[in-house]
Amino acid sequence: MSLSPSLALSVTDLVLRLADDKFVMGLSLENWLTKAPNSEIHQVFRRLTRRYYQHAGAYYQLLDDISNEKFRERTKAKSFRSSQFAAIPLSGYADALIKQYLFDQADLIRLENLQYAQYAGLQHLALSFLPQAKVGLEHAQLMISKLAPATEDAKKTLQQALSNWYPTSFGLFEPTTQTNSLTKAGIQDLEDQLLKRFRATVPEFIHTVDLHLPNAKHFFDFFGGRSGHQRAELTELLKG
Amino acid sequence: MISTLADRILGLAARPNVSLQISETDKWLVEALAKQTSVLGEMLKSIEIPEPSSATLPTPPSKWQAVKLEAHKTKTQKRKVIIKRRK
Repeated sequence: MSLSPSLALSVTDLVLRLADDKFVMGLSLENWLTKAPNSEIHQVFRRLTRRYYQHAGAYYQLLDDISNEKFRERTKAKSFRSSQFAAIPLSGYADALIKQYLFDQADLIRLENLQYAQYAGLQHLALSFLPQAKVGLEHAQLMISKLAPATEDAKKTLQQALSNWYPTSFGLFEPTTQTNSLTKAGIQDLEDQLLKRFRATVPEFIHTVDLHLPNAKHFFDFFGGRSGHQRAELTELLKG
Repeated sequence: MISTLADRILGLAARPNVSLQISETDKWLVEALAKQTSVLGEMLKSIEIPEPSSATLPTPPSKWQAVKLEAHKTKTQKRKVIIKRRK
């Protein structure tokens, strides 16, 4: 299916967001890898990082087919369309685990939607990435469910990480000026609808591990990434 | 910058396990892992990520099927030539 110029613009907006999210998430994890607390955790997060880079690479390749812009040559943080969430640095394993859980849960919700996209290139990628996103999510859920009840300290630390990261993760569903066009063209549902699904799915798991979700009233504070308003940390990550 | 994605992936694969030390931030994990002794083994099993055969191929399947078909045809033609020569 060839895209009309206006639809190509909308699809480019979406694919660039997806590519940049995965790329910056990979940078964020890679930056933390040397601080992993043991070799098993190091090994697992190295695999996850590689997966994020591979997905980003495939999305950038798709962008080459639909746009003449040289997205791979960007160096400035403001030219990135990743969510602010992706660039926030990790201070420890609890951060890494909770961030990866929220990112993969959001990714899974999006991919489940994109597998029906009325654009074969994107639909094809969504179908190939789905099994990997499920495995990533299951890994995070397994670790949270085992560690949270292990000790009081573990529960407290994971709860703190969840309280910090949960409101910021809503930025993964920040709408853009192209959101409505994408929905009209049958590419994906509105970002708002995807966010609602995310907000319904996360509590289902979090309640089973006896953690609680914080009030996320101020989630708008973490919007802006989709229009290039990036955190200073992204500039640091891109230098690395 | 992004053109170095392949290098980053290769770098990750080649990088040896670094010397790891439990930081103050991760001290909670020591006791938690001691209570859940099997969790690291389960974690490693859980992360066996299936490698998608076509994850890096963003082109719609039809085009790739055509390429594969072409390759198959060429192979078949070569085989026919070899069989003819043998005869």
